[in-house]
Amino acid sequence: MLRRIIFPHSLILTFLMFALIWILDVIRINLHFLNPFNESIRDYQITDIVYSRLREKRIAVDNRIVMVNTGQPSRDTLALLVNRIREAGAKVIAIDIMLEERKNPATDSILLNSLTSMEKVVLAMEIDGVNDETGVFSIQKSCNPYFCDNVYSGFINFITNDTSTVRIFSPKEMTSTGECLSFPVQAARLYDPEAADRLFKRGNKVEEIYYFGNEDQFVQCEQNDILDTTRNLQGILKDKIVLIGFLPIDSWDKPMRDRHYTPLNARYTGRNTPDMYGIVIHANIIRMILDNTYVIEPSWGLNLLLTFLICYFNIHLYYQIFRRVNVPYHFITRFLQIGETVILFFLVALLFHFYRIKIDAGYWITALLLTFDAVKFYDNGIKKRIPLFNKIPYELPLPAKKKKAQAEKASAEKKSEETPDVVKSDNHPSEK
Amino acid sequence: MRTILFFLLHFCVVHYVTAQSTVMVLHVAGQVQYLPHYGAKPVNLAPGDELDIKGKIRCKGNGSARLVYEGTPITVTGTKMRDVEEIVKTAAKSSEMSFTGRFFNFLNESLKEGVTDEKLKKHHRRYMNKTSGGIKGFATPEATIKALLTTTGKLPQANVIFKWRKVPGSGPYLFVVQDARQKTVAQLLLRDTLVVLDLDHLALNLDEEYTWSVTRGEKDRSAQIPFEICPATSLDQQTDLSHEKTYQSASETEKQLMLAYRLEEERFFYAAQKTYQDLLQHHPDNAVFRRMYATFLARLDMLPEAETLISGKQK
Repeated sequence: MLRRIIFPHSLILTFLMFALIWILDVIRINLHFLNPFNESIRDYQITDIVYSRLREKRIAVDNRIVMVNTGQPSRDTLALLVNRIREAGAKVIAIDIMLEERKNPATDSILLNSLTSMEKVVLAMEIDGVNDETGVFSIQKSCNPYFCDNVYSGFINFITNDTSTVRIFSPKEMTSTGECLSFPVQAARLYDPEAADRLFKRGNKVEEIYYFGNEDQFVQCEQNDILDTTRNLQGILKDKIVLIGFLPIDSWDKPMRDRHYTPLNARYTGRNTPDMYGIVIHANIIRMILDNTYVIEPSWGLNLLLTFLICYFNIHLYYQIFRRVNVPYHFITRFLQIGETVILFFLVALLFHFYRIKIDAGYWITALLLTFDAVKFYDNGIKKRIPLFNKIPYELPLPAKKKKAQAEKASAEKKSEETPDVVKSDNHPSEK
Repeated sequence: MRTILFFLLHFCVVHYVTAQSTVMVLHVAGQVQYLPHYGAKPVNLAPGDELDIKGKIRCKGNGSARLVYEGTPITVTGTKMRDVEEIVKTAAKSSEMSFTGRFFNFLNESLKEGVTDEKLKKHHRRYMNKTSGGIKGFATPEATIKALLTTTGKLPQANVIFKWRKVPGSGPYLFVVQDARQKTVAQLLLRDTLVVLDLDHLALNLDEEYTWSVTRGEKDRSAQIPFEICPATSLDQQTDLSHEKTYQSASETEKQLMLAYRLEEERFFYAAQKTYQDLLQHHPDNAVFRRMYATFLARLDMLPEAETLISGKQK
């Protein structure tokens, strides 16, 4: 059995290939000044294509989350909104608006009164001033204690720089005043504590965001829809999470404020414009927590094993082709490389689309691209010049017992082939 | 056997009845109206509403609605009254591909879509519709001719007086009625600042929105005032107050006031004005009626008329 699986030269070459990939991975040289394309796809993953191009156009509207676009409302308008939403029987109100300063004492007091009149209200705030050694944040900002101290709050920081895509989020962080939950996690916890527990049990410091889609996945109300007193809002808001924030999707100029890059961006490479408002990202995170639809990433060990197997399989295949058909090797393997790359891409996309399994196929494809030259170089350059390698057989030797049995079988076959000829020559009637 | 057949039939009927899908409203921009059936009172749509596909829908002005039907997102725009079923069918025609189909489509598109610099230079006109330098301005050319807004909203299928204010200068006024596609339906040259039109005689559709405007020369123009035709039966249906207890117990004049307010609420401004005028004709000294009519005119941006009405009383 082992003899059919293990081929010494393919195995050696696989280890050499791993060493080469490791060296390429360790020695990173910033060459983007030579290749602007490199810079534009630096923040690109294969799964982005799944989100942006292979996703189903059909939508499944979430009936637990409603988004309300308020633009940048005055505090008395916000108070009126909160009152209307509370009266409609919403379960949680999450306000993605930073109430940083005290303004008019009268309106502030009215707003606070509205906020505290409901049990489950979450306000947005930011955390800052991280201590690199302890990982503890020292500053909680963008939400005045006048408001924040009286209701729940959650941090709205995304893990990204100015140009990168929002792919991950931190469920909770430690601050100098204690543990602090992120804004969507806080909202999800108040809505469904069990769902939040499932998230915490995973114990991940950061979680990959599984995007269900853009704002079309949720019912979106305008401020006026809520403030219209002739409307009964119970039908759409009762027992739901109401996210209040900046979502000017109807605005002709689509303001850039609070818009971010996500993997759903139709232009997944090159220079593009941010595609999703922060409130929609929060809504996606909440939905992911409630539905328990986390992105599954294979462990480091499993990834290594898979990479090894794929690399080994390819090397053996290419080596066999190289040994048997030396002349058209180039032609056949180039086609194989293209075909395999497409199949690998298809597999990665398929696993992510249907099972949310996110596999890093970067090493697989690197190994695949290097195999062609590696096999040639090994066979012509290493094996022939280093006697030790040259002595190693292509296949494992047969075990002694099996070898003996095989030899006996071969000699018996030989005999049986010879005997009938003799009989034939002696007894054939035509010869008589 | 009969029992089994009965249950099978029952199951099929129940399944058919419960399978009547509805359309969900995701988002509404501006004003969008829904009519459960022809002649019914239009309902303003709001996010979260569920609509029966047998109804009709139309947007007002630049309004739009985002709907979802069986997972298919649909955007509705345009002032024409349309069947929801027809909209849904059109959207459903763009059938969804399977994952494998989308994958190979992507591979294929990626090969086709590469636009090289060379191609861009050669066929540059094809690529000129994607971006442009500049912004949309907020300023609209100011309307120098003030059109009176009593002839906006829903107008009767009868004689209607369209009015506007006089502006200094000479030459005739050009009164134009256009449909939603800016196609001229009627055009008149006038010396006076009013025109009486029998809307029943014009080729106007009940389900469509039209605009009227006035220009004089090249400089003076009014804003485009939207209106639609509403038959008397529909007006009665939409403003029927007879089932309300307060209306039943009200006096005749109070009933007229309530009706006038309801007419205004339902955008029958022309009919509302007529109701106020009738009231004042019968009770010329009633300060309350005068005041209410004045506030109605003020709401329609007709302050000079409102002031005249109140000051007339004070004198």
